[in-house]
Formats: sequence, structure tokens, C-alpha cells
Amino acid sequence: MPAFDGAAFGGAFDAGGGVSGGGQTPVASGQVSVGLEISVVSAQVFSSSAGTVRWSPSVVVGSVDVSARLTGEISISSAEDAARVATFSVLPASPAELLGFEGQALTVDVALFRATHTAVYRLFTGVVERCEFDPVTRVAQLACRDGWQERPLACASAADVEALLAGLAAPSAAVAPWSDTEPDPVGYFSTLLETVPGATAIDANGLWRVVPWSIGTPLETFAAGDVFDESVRVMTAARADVPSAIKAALAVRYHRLHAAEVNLSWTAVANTYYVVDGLPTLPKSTLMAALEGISGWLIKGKPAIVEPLPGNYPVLVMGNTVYYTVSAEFARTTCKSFTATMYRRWYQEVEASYTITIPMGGASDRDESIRASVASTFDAGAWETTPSSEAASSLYQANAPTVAIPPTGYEGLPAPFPPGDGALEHLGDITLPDLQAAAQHVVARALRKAAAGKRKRRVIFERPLDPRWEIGAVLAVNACGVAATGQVSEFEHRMDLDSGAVASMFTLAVPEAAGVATAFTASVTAPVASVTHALADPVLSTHVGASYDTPAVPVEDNLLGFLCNVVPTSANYDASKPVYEPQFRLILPEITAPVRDPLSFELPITASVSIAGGSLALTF
Amino acid sequence: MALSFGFFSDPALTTPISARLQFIQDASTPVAANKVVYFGSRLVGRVCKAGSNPGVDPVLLSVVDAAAGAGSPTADVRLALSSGALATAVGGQALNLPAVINGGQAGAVAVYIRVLDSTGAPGIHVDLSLQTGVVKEFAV
Repeated sequence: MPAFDGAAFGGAFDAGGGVSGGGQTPVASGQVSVGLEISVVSAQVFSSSAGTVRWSPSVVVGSVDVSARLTGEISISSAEDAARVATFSVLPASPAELLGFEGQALTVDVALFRATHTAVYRLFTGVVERCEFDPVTRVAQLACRDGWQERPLACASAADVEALLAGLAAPSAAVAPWSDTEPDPVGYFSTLLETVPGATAIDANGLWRVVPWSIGTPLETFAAGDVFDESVRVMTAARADVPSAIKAALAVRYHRLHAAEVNLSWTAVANTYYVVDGLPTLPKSTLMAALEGISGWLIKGKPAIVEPLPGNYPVLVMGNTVYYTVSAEFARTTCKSFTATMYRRWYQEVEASYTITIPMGGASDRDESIRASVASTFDAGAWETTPSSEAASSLYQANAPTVAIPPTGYEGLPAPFPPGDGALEHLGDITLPDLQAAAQHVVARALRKAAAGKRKRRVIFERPLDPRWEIGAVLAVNACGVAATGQVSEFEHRMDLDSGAVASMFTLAVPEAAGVATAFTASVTAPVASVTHALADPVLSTHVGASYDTPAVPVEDNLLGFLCNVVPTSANYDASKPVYEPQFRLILPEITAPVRDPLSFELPITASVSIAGGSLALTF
Repeated sequence: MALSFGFFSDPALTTPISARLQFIQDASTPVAANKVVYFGSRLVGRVCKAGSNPGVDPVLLSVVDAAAGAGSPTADVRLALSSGALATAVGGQALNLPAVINGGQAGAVAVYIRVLDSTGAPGIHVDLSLQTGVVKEFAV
């Protein structure tokens, strides 16, 4: 069919085609662009040699260039983990312009001229935060910020926040969870920021930056001729900032699950005693009631009960042979001997503290510990509870329909099953990756706290306006007997339009440490229980009361097994001896406090930490 | 309706870039200056595709010179999808972004920009820009 072979036909079907989107109507279309500004500058404008430097600010508010109406001082300051702030004064052209300043985007640039050399630098990109107008002088002072606080606030998910920190944060869903129902991006950002071995800032172009704390080769060294006289200052870290050590601990609360078994064995006395002393036999029902009635203990499997064999058994009594008769009906209800295994499980609340100590070398004894905790939600009570036996009550004698009868007793106990006569550490819903992430979170917080404390040792200097350096730049100064290398943690540019004075003040963080980078590794292993229970098997026997053989003062702890009495007509009857309450007495071993009471212990976090160090040498 | 896709200054796509991106270059000894911007949309239920053969052809990002022969040449700008790839990127060459770019932070495409001035001419050169081809935005 030639009509379907044409290019027009094929093209019609191809239009808008593709894997997806074919046939779908776009909601918008167009081109997206972003402008580039390449400022080719001459470093000669920053030369400290004799000469003059001219400068010219350029401030654009909204789309209006207000440079010609600036007055007073322009100040731009920036610091780690804080908004860059700009303040300047302008003569508004009209009330409408004045009232329209707030919320306007703006840029601040500066052009520097030295002889034939020029350099244009952007100093600030942000929005007007506040406007303060003096009607007498007709001067409006504008305070502007770069939106550092707004960016976390605009995040809608944990991934958004984590993206802002460029993978340097140590998130832990167990210790510092994100809530989808009550999202708090600012709180989550603050929490994660405490784990970042670096700082955040927005640069002069408004680009978000995450700056690792690392100090390598300085980009520039300023000698005495490059800095203002008497501007160099050295500030040591406060005692409170550098304690002797920072200890981090991750408390993991979970359950240690125990299991123990004891074996029971009992055998009836010889038939002679039934005839001579008139002792009762042990009914199966009495035995089972005793086995099932021990609080906390369960019969593991079925007890092996041996019935007496029906028949007539000759017994020699005072030289005469009499017969002890066991009928078939009697035998079915009687226990001649049995063996059974009793099982007990219980849990112990455990708090394992994974710890690490970062020595700081400080003199302060101030407690700078970091603690976080994660708790298992395992329902240990339900695990320990014995399944009800009611569900297993027999309904049918014969021809029972096939129904699923839930197991009861030992067989119905829920998992997990600790090893026999041992214990296992059950962390429930805390997985090993959860544990690793939590440990890394804690170590990261400790490292940042330690590094931040050491970075309080600072060197400050001022020099003519130098907009080349951003937060995180590594600079050195060698002036006034101070030789220091550090990382820019704060700076401020000031340009006075009235006097023409311009200056930049830089604050270098010069931590006393040996590393090049601030980094860590941390790992933990899951706790392992090393517990063995060796409960003594109770010795069961038949204890006869009211007999001349009965001890006048029986040792009650030893009265385990079948308790019965001689009949008064027996020759062995002794009315003066204790008469027992007939029963099958079972007392199983107690669980001792060390394996029952809440337990806490410490485990190490396998970790290595390094803090980027600067250098500082003073010469008098 | 305007495109919601654009260039942002942070990986969480919270702040669109509204001013020109400035790159400082030393006139005598220029050193490559790198910046990273993010192309995407805050709207999760949107996708961006090339205008032609959408979903198959990559979204193209070009270096456009508004005044060829003056200012800076396009060859002074390299584009890449990773910082490592900047080393082998060819100056002035367009960058293929994914054929389907999802809205939301997870779909943001990091665009690494390296500028190395070849003119040595002090001044401000504003003739270059980064521009996508015609793109279409779809609701999904």
C-alpha cells in the first residue's frame, strides 16, 4: 500500500514519538539558559607595592543599578554555617522604589583599578532582607542575606537535606530520624550538620558550597607588607572549647534472650512398700499437674511416663507371700516412673554502650560527652509469654475434622529460640547497618565537636580589599612575628564610599592538630552473648511421712518428688513423725540476678579520626 | 505555562540561579575555575525531554556565544556531568544531559562547568551563556 509507505505517513507517527512522551501533550516548552560572566582580572590590583588602587562598587537591586546612589559604607561578611550578609545605604529614587526594596534580589560587585590593571569581582548575591529609611537624610539602609537559612527550610525530604550536605553528613535513621508526617527540614539539617567534618556557605555567586575542613598548601601567603599594621591578632581557643577529651557513646537498648533446661527423673518405690506401708501410687494426673504448674517453666516435648504393667506381683511380707495386684484400669492412670525435660525462657534488658574517646589535649575537665541511643521495639513480654493451652483443648475423641490447632506450651513459643542453656543478643528491629550508621553518626558528631573546638584557635588579619578568597580557602600570614597557615572561617569586606577606605578582614582557623583532612572511620560489631546456664537437675525421689524412717526434722529443700505417708495400720507407722501433705513436689532452680536483672556494659567503637591542623609559630 | 525546569544553585533545588555565574580568571596566569550547578525542577511529577524525539534524544546543553569574535570564545568553557570528566571534556562542546530528566531533587542533574580564559584580556566578558535546546516539560 504505497499510501502507507510515504515519508509523510511515517513522519506523522514519529512526531512527538519516543520511548515516552509520544502522544502526550507537554505542559510547557522552551529553552533554559544561564548567563556566564568571565571576569578576567589582573592580580596586579592586589599588589602591595607602592601605588594607588581605585575601586568602584556596582549594586543592582532587582534590575535597577543603584550604584550611583550609594552612600556610606558597604559591608559584606561571611562565616561558616551562616548566611552571608551585606549592608549598604542607598538614596532611593522614589517612595515606590523604597517600598519595593524588600525581598528584591540583588548583586554586589566591585571593580578594582590599579594603574592599567582592573579586576571585577562579585561579592554578594542575595535578597534584601530589611530596609531602614531615615526621612531626614533620605537614606535607606538595606540589610541583605544570601538565603543560607532558607535553603534547608525549602527542603521537602530527607534526601533533599542530605543532598545539601554533599554526602559529608552521617545520617542515621535510628538516632536522628526524618519524619514524613511531621517534616522538620531545618531541624534535620541542623542535626546532620553536626556530623559534617566541614562547613557550609553560599559563595558570592549564590552557589551553595560544602567546604571540607582540610588544610593543605596555602593559596597565598601574606607578608608584613601585605597586611595592615597592627591588624594581626592571635586568638587561642577557650578552655571550654578544648577539653581534655571528648567522649562519644551510642547506647543500644535491646534484649538478651535466655533459655535453660533441667532434666527430671523419678521412679516409684518397690511394690513391697505399697503392701507393707500402704503407700499410695502416683496418679498421672497428679504428676502432670505438678509438671504443668511450675511458674515460668514449660514441659519440652512430652514427658516419658512409664505405667506399671498390669498383673499380680508376689511380695514377701513377714515370711508370707502376698500378691500386689495391678489392674489394667489402674495401670492406665498410674505413673511408675517418668523422665521429662523442663524448659524456661526469659529476657534481660541490656544497654550496650559503644564508646570512643577523642583526646583533645586540653586542660578543661568539662564534660564534653556526646550520647545517642537507639532502642529495640521488640515485644519481649509477648516473646516470653506462654501460649494459652485453651486453644488446644481436645474436642473430638474420634473422626476429628482436619483443623489447624495452634501449638501451645513449648511448641507454641514464638521465635527466636536461644541456644539451649545459653542466651542470644536479640536486637529486634535494629539491624547491623542501622547500628553502623548510628555509630558513624555519633563518631561524626564527636569529631566535628573536637575539630570545631580546635578551630577556635584563630589568626585574624586585615589587608586592602581582597575578594579572591571564599570560606574554606587556605591562606598563610607571616607578619608581626606571627607565621600561621589556616583555613578562612570568616571574612568581612568593608568599602567606605565617603572616605574611600576599603579593607578585608580574614579570620583563619588554625587548629592545633596533625592531620591534613578532617575525617573519620568508624565501625562496630553486633554484641554477642557469651552465656552458659548450668542449672542443677533436681533430685526426685519418694518421701514417706509418718514412718519410723521419716526424719524428725526433714530438710525441706530436699523434699522433692512424691510425698506420701505410711498408713496408721502399718507396722512402720510412727505417729510422732511428720506427716506430709500428699503431693508431687517440684521446685526448679531459680534464675539468678546476674542473668535476670537489667545489664549494662561498654563496647568499643573501632574508629580512627583525624583533624586537619594548621600551623602557628610566634616570634618575639 | 513557564518551564519549571531550570538551573539551581544547590543540589536540593531550593534556589534558582537568577544572576550570571561569575568566573574569575587571572589575566596573566589563568587557572581553571570550576563551578557546579544543578538542572532540574522542584516539581516531582514533571519530566523534561528534548523537544525533538522526546525521551530518546538527550537534552542538549550548549555553550552559546552571543558575540562571536568578541569577549570569550566558547572553547574556554568545558561542561561535564562529573568533576572527573571535566579533565577530558572538550572546550565549547555541548553536553548531553539525560534524555528523560525527572523533577524533584532525586532527578537533579549536576552540571560541572570549568572556565579557563584564553583571551588574557582584562575585563568582563558576558557574551557566553549555557543554553538548552528546546525542551518539553511533561506531567507524569
